[in-house]
Amino acid sequence: MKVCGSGMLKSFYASVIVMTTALGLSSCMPDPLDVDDLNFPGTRIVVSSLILPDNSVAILLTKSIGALEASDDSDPRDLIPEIAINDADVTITVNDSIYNLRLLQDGVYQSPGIPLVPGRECHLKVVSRSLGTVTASTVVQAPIYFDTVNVEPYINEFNDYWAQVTYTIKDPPSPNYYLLNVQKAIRKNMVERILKPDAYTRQVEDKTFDAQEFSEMFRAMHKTFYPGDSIEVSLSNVSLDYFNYVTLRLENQLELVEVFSEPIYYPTNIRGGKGFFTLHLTDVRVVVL
Amino acid sequence: MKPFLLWAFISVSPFFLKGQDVKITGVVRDAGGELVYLANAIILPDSVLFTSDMKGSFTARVKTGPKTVVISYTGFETLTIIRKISQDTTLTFVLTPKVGRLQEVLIEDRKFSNEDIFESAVSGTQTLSKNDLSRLPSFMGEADLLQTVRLLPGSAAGMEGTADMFVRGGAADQNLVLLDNAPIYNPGHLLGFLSVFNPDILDKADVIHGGFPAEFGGRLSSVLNISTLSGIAERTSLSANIGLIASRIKFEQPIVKDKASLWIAGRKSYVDKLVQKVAGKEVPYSFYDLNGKLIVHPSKSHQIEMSHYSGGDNLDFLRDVDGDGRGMHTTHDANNSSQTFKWSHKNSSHWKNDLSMFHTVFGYNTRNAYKEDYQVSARSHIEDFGAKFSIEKDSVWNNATLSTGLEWIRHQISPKVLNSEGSITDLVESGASEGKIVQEYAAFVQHEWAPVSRLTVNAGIRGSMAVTHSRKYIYPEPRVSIRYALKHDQALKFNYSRMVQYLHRISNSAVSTPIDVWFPATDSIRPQTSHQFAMALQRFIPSRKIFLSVEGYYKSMDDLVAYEEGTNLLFKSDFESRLIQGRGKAYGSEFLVRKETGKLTGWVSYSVSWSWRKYDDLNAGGWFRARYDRRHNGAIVVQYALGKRWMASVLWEYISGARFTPVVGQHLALAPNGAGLDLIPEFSAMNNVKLSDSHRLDVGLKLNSKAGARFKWNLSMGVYNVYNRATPFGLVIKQDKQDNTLKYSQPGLFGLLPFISYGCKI
Repeated sequence: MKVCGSGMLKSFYASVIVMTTALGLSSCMPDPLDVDDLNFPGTRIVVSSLILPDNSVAILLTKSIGALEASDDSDPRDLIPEIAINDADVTITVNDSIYNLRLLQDGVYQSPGIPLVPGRECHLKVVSRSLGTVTASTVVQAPIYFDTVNVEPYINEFNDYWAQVTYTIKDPPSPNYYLLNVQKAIRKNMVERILKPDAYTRQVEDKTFDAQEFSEMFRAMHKTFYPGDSIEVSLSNVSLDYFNYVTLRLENQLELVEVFSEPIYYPTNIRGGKGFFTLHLTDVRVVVL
Repeated sequence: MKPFLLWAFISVSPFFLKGQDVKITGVVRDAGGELVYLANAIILPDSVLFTSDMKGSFTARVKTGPKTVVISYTGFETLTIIRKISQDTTLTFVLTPKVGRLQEVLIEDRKFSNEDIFESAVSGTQTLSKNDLSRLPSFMGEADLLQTVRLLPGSAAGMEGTADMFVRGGAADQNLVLLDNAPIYNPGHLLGFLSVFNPDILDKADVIHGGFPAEFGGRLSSVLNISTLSGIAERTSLSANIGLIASRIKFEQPIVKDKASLWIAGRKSYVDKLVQKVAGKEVPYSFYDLNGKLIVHPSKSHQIEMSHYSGGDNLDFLRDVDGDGRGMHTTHDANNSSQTFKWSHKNSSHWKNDLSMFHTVFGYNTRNAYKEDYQVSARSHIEDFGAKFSIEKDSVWNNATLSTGLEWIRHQISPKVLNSEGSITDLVESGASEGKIVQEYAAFVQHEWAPVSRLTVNAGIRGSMAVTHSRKYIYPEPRVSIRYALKHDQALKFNYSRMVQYLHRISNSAVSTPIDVWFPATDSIRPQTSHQFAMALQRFIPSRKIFLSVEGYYKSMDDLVAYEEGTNLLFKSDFESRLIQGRGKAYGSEFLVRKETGKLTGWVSYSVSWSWRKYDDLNAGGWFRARYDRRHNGAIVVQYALGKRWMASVLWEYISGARFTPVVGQHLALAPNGAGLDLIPEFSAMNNVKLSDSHRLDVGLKLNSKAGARFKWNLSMGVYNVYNRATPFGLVIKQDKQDNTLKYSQPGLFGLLPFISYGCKI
């Protein structure tokens, strides 16, 4: 949704902008006015979380930055060393047991031994020597696994190379919210894996197939996958709050029209900070296209 | 409020019942039979002063006996007649033009005077005529009604170049725009840079911000009541106007002498050709307007008018990034259309009946197609049928007036239909928001009387009802205006209006766009409502025709419509569940000095205002400033007659910056399933930043043909935004080309822009 939707919206607004610019060109373009008194409100700790395939928990800690410190074109891999928080003590408490997470590199903290029992509440505490303390709580989500997954190349009439994914799951009772990702499986290690953003994301709710077997086919459009590529297809069952948070992110990546857009205040469950602390297992399948 | 009204009616009713004198009723005409508006007269020895109304007529009560009536009007010989009056009498006064009368440009100056506004109980109202528009410097040579309206106090502009108007802290959708009584839902061309109203056909436009008459309803903040030409043409005429971006033509033809005539007017743009020539850019865009009116006066007491309007915009744009002739193809077609019928009847007892009916349609179709692979189109459509019947008597009970009537509107709305084809169907689902039919009914009554000397009360009530699918909304809408004459040329006024709005405009962005959606009150979305109080001190200096007004107001608004944070409406056909409702309040003061006649005419206006919003689901439930909470808004509008043929005009406008919510920070967040990192923007608090104030100077010069020439022409030229200052529409982040650093910038759209237009009439 995000690529296509934003593309078309961009096109519409682009036509508006081209027209106004062209009209403006027929006049003298006025010099833009400067802005002197707009300040970044302050640095906060930003938390991201992930359960890795080996069932260890990884927490990425970065700090928020001003709007003028990086543009949309900035490569997160270049940005990470500058904004990673490496001076924090990170703990997760489960049933009165405290687990310390170890710094791997560039703000990524990991602990392999945390018991991830679905339905159990986990409490995160981050104490940074430079930025203070933030806390968060989340409930471990029940895992979901593919029954079957099949990926085939799809080439449209314009020689766009996409991946066509067909999968089957058995949906457990109760409302569930699924995220599916399709991306190239070329990462050598976990840090590289999360720093290489080029995935297609699909959201699925089980309103229409609660407690039933569900199968569907979709195309990971506008991401190029060539035959022979190793494709990573992942599936996770997430909380409703996180599902809504992801929906907001996917629907509002319209940087071209920012000047016309209403603001979006992304929700967070980090007390005193930003980001989202969520613990859900991900079923990852690697398929050669 | 109801008990108050009842008490008011009962308490003043004895005043109506006192003894009556004889009545003089008259009509003032010129030698050619044209009605003369606003002629001044005095009846001696009673010393009764009066002014002829917009139909050239008047009514006065005097004692029986010999009377001397003296009628005067600028450019005409003073007329004096002596008549013995022993019973109710009707007279016709015919004025003779002075030999060597003043140049035409001055005589025709004010067909509609602020003296009417001063004498009435209402405030917050202004009238603009065709002359007010045509004499001002204009954007690319096109005189524009909405741009001129925004120079009056109380109206704040939206983004530069858009048709948005924010009246007394209201929202852009709270303005009822009527063209010959038919609502016009999209009053903007050129994506909003110009209004759809051809200035050639404008008779007058009443701009009502407060003290709303009971006959009007349906919007919270303003009524822009536009009347097109309605006089019987005396001879065939053809006029044309050639401007930089569009040309206009108007043809007027008598059908039966003094009984029937028609006019047809058209406007067509060639902005695409202009930009191609000047900037070498392709702008595949055009617009047009077509107006026509048939006017029939079968007898002196009957008038019939039938009008038609249609207009459209067409955009056809190919975004060909690869240069292979294929790419994202965007087309946008928007069309307005309205037809009206009006029958007026006035009998000898001064009862006047008006029956008007209308049909109006607005719709658009936006289509995005990527190569031949897929396409998405979005359509929206609104169609109204309506009728209004009113009865008015201007001399019930000692010069009191009474009007009452009924109104009905049927809205049929297809808010949004989405169609997707090709490979995109996986991502954008076809769908349609449920069609809505809403019936609006209203009954109104309004009574104006003078309970005691110096005091005039205009009280009315409008009862409105909207019937949705399975719910009825019923609201009483009381209206009260009170005028107290401090001196003969000074008056203190108070008014209160309760307004209800059953239609909302839903916008996908912070500014209105051509793809906004009109959405009615539904079973779950309540109508918007407001209370407005205003108090004004006004003065009119008759000798110099100068009007001064100071007015303060407070307006509270309930059930304003917005949508949940982060809602992307563009590709959603079912968005009702994402709409939220909240409150608003606005207050401020407005100042106006307006000079109507003489070599120097124009006005100075200034408003200081505040406007706030509150939604439970936005800004953590706290109050925040409205986006167009512009603190100061002022304009100096001057026209000066340079000799007999030249007219110079100067317009200077100052507006405080609009509010804006810029991106002030950002952070990295893991993409779903750890599939990468996204840069997430962090916004300031809602509308927490004020854009820079803007000001602009426009100058113009107009040369008219010699007075009395059979072939009349005029040449207008001038410069828009003389000192080339940007009017910022937002905050953007730009990269410095020198050192690659990022910085905030406030771009504007239009800089210095010369214009020229030529008009002629035969």
